[in-house]
Amino acid sequence: MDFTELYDQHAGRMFRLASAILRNPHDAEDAVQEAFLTVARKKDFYAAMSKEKLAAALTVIVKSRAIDILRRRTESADMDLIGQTLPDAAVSVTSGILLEEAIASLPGRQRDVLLLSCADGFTTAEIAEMTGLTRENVRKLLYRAKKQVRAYMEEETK
Amino acid sequence: MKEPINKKDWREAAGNVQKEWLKETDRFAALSEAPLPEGMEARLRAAWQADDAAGKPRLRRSFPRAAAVVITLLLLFGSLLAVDQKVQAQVQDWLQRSNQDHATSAYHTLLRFIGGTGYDRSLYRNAKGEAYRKYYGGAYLGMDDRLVICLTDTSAEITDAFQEALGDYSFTVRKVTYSYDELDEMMKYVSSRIQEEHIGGISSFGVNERDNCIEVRFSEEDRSEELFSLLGRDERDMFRFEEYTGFVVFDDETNDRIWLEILLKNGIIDGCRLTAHGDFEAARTALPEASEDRISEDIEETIRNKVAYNPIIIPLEKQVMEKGDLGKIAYKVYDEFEVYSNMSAEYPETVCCGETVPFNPHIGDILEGLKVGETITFTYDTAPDRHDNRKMTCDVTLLYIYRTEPAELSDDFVRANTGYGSVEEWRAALRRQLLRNGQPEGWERILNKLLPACEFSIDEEKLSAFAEKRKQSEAWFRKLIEEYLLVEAIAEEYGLSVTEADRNAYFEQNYYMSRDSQSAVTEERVLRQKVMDYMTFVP
Repeated sequence: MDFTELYDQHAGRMFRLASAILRNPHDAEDAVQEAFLTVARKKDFYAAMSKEKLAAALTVIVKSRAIDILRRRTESADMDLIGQTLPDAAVSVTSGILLEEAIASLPGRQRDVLLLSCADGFTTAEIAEMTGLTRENVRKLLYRAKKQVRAYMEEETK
Repeated sequence: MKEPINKKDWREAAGNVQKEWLKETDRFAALSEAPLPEGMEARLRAAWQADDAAGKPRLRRSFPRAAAVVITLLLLFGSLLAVDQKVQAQVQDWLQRSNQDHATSAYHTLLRFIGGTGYDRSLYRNAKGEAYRKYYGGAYLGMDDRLVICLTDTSAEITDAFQEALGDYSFTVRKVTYSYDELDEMMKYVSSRIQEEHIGGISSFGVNERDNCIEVRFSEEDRSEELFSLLGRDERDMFRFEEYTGFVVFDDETNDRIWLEILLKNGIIDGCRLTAHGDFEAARTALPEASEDRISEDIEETIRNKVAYNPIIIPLEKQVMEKGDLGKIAYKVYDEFEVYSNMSAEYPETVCCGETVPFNPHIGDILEGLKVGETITFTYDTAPDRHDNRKMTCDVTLLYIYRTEPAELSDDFVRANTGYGSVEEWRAALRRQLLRNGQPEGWERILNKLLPACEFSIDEEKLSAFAEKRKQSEAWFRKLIEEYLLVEAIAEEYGLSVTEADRNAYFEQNYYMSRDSQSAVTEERVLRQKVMDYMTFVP
């Protein structure tokens, strides 16, 4: 994978996303750098992806790195506090398809993991690497996400 | 009956949601309107290229990753000793970079309590803690930069014992299946069997403390079945297998020391001699960083900070907590399965009423109006990605309300807060540490003065064959051997030798080093430090 191509196509977007989360250009650059290094370690893997898949992967990677930095920066590790400072991108689905609504309603991290798994076909190990979570946590999040989606659909179709 | 959602439906729905999600994310990102920092492209490119050159994943700041970096070990160096020291070097590297002083200190205390882990067993002894090491399953740095201690038994009796050992340090407890000793024993067994049977294709293995397993990485194809058949016992749950084609690169100094060990152990230096050398005395060089004013200033600043951060605590008669009051509390966080934090009255936690308490934000809200001696219990939901969203219970007892006064520097203060016996002893130790900061550069200058005037007798044939076999630079090996011989010669010239006190000081400073590895290798390290100190005028 070529650095220039990756930089030109994605760096601006990645940096702005990190900036929006961290609100500090130095930390945002750190997040982008860590994300680039994640890609650098598996260039062939990322180079083989479609444009859409790569965009989704890079978004999750930089977001995860930014959250890691936010955690380190926040004196308290409690995610409740971090949650207050991190505006997550909401998803509004207008198609009216119940399954999509159910997926869109998931909390941020569950949704990220489910999308990477179901839409892009990434394995647990690959998602773990992108998000910085353990494989066990990825599996748990996936399990909970699917359970929640089913519960949502059951509730809506009662 | 529930209608199943098939894979195609999942994929299509997730794909559509993902498109919307990316659009929303872009809209959110656009809110920042932050311009790209000047020079970011060049910095990213440099990092990208550096990573290319290294060709390996960077060490993250976690003990398990450091332990997993045990890797590369046997197959590259064929020496369990080398493994230990590499792990130690990586852990030290982590410690330096992570800037987590409290976690570092607590980890050190923990190791002392349980008698060390596999590679530093001889260094840490504590008769009381030894009884608890069978419950110890490893430790690592949690997301909150606090130590997570893994225990095979998380009953109050056991967690209390660890809490007592760690004093007022607040840590998290996690229940695991295997003790560190069980994993370590299995790893050593695997190590010996791999060496005996010359199994190839394993790029690394080591104890992964975070995942409570032995992590084995294959550089080519999965050899797990071969490995299990070799082990002759089925402990599959203890292992995790991964494909890994990277290499671990150490800093130059660590790399040099590791390879010198290998040269020594393989007898490559046997028979090599320093036959002529220049004037050692003339080469002695005071370190440029060793300006007296600067050192004194740094020592005083360190002392001032230490005194400022350790004020005298004066309990008050006041009985009811009000906003802004400082208090000492005992508290315990638990659910039906585990005790996560437990601060006893002997080692109370400091809180300020009305302020967010870093170790548990919920505590700050309930302190106002609490009376001394009163215990309050409350429950709260954990965040989704911590503790599986479980409901936690927290008992908080207010022990006393207090005020602080600035501490004064005295021998008593030093004994209570630093581990040194007196102010004078502490100052001397600080001075030595500061002087040594510039020692690598100073030593390099000394070598540049001395080596050109030296003559060596080296077994070129043996050296060349060994370099070829190990696919390493012959010139680099020669430099390592020459420096080793030079150190020996300087030591002989000035009558420098390694004493028990030197070893103790060295291991105290490098507390992750293994005393099990007492050998020519260790002696060389200690002697080299002593020679460097002498040549650079470090007292």
